[in-house]
Amino acid sequence: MMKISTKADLEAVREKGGDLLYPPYQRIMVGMATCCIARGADKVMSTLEAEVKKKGITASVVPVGCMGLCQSEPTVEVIQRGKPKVTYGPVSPEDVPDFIQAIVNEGVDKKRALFRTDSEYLLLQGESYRYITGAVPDAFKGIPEYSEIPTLKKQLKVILRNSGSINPESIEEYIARGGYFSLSKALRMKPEEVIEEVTRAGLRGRSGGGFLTGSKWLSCRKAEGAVKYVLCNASEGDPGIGMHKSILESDPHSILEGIIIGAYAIGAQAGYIYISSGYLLGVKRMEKAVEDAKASGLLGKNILNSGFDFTVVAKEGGGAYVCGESTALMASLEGRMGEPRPKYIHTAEKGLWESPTDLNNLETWANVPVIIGKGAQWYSKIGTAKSKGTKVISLSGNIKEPCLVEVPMGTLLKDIIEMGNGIVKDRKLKAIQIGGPAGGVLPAESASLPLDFDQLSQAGSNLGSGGLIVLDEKTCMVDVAKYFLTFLREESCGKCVPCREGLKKLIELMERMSLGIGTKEDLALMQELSLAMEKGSLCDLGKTAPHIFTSTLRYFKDEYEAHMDGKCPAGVCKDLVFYSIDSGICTVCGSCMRVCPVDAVVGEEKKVPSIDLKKCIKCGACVEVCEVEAIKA
Amino acid sequence: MTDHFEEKEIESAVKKFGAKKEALISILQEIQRKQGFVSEEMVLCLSEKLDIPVSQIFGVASYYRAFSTQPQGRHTIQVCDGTSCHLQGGSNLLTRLERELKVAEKGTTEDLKFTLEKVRCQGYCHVGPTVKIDDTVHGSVTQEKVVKLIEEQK
Repeated sequence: MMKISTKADLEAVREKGGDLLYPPYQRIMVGMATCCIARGADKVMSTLEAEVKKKGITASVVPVGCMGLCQSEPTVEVIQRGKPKVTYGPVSPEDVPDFIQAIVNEGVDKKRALFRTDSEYLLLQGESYRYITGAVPDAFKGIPEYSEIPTLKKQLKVILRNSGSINPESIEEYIARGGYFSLSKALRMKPEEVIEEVTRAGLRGRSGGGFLTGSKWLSCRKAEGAVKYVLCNASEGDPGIGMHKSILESDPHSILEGIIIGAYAIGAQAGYIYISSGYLLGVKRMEKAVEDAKASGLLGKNILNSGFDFTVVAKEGGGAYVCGESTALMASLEGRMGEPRPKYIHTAEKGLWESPTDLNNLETWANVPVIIGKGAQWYSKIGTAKSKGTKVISLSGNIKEPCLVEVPMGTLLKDIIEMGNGIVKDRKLKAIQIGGPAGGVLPAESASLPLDFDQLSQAGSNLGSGGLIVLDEKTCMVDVAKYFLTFLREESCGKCVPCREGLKKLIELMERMSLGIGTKEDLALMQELSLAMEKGSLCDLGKTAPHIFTSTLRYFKDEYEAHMDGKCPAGVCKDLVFYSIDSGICTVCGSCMRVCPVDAVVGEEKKVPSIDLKKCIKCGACVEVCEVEAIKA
Repeated sequence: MTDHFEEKEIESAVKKFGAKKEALISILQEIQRKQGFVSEEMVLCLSEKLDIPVSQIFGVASYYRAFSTQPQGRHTIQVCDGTSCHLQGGSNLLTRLERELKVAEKGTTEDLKFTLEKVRCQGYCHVGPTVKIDDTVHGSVTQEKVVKLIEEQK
């Protein structure tokens, strides 16, 4: 690996990386993040390699990160000199021979093509790369252009700028798309100027709190201490999102470059990247990124001849939600139980091993190279008055095409939901859950709210780390609240009483609701408990835990009332529902009879069956399998 | 899996990450992956090598989700009950598996064949509900499909 000490060296590597990205032969890219691999991308990749070899084609088959097209995985992209880049999916291993043959014959496999890209804007370079040299070749004309695809055209890829385009394990490819030039620029600025730039950009932490990143850095820079640390929280935490994993696996250098710039600005000598337990591929790719940066001289002693020394270690955590809390994460890095401590003294003054420490979320770090590279002025033009930049959103729940998208702050929630192509079975939107367990549930009308830290928190939720979960009319709000509270009880560290005992009691009372025996007095007690937890808990886990209850009560009080009357309107709470088959809808396909594990669905051949309520265990297998939704609760 | 373990294995884990207090979690990860669980004997052995009190090591081993202090079955079945999977029937899958395998969540079947676990989000929200059996993630799982998956393992 070439040692990089000057900007000229960096430019030489950029040239080299450019030859990899746009080779004179074909470049075949396969999306190889773990979610793609779960859908068989690894087999597609090895089959492609074998087929290319067999046919004697000169081509490189390259693993890249997540392309964000979850519904079309495994996804493959092909770049050929002078022709549009084409994205294909889904491509199965069996498709490969046919696929390669089509590309050899016509340059394109129309059957599996999703869209084409004639030219691509490279964010950090500030210019476009044109794939086509002249007009669009005839064979490619029937394929829609990138900008015609609804899920793609409203997105702005800043954090995901390289995801799916580069080999995440190649530092050359990262540099070829403008990587590490921001570091080189930052090292020629004064540390205070770097902080000033980040402050002016208006970057706010992407982990939930939404603190101004520049101010956080400044207080750590000003703190006294011979040793200082910078940390990256790369553990997912919130259940129901997979975005950190995707960024780690797709573009680890973008996070690393941000951390090095931050360390220089703060004056830190060492850093740690704390990764979710079990994110093996993420750990592996981050470790490779650190290793390559070290070998290139972008980490270690005298980085880019600036006199600045810095090292970083990627560490896998033990798996605990509360480790999203700064002091708990630091305890975990020290090898202890991840319990938070009171923050009378800020971690910026006494954090990891009692030294001044700055902790930022992975997505916050990945913003930094863009701010330095493009300038605060450019960056602050994106977003709303007080929420700047873009946000990666993990869109899931009852949605047809769950996906990972990146949109400018200020984008309306309904526009994001539209990117998922509507709600499952075209049901109605009931509510939106945003911000994970620390956030809240917002009613369907809130879909017209913009993605904005302050507006969401006024509405009773918070942006959190960006999980947006769509809830349809078949969702029971009491069940959702109970679900999150149970999650939090399991994850509460148990150190402080309000959180430990408060959650236990809240769930007991919530349990009464779902049994249909809750009372008005119960509700009043729950509200009182919530207040005590918000005021008295040690850390944000306990302080925010009641949000899910208070927000569901605020917007869906009628549903709590129905439960008190012994009814679950959505038909979810098992103790309050009895399944029956609507003979007007039933097509007598027999599926429900086949799947029932206790033979509770009974009936004669070619007649609408009925459900024996004495036998029924309400497992929901019949509801799941019924295509026409004839089984009612 | 038995309670028997090789001291060499513990030594190699300690050597890999260094005999430092802050390496404890990484060392335990290594032991968990190689041995399948962290037993009392292993904790005692580790305590001597790292000079950390047994209570502290046991505290860490029982605190984090990544570690198990009981022997695990040959196959680990992880049913996701993250928000997205929950909404799509993840918890029904868990109940079904408890019934099929006659074992409660976190439990191991009598023949030590399966360990059943509930997990909160493994980052495959886009293909939920998911069930992970050993290293393979299965997406869009239904009750019908999960029963077949178990039979395939048998």
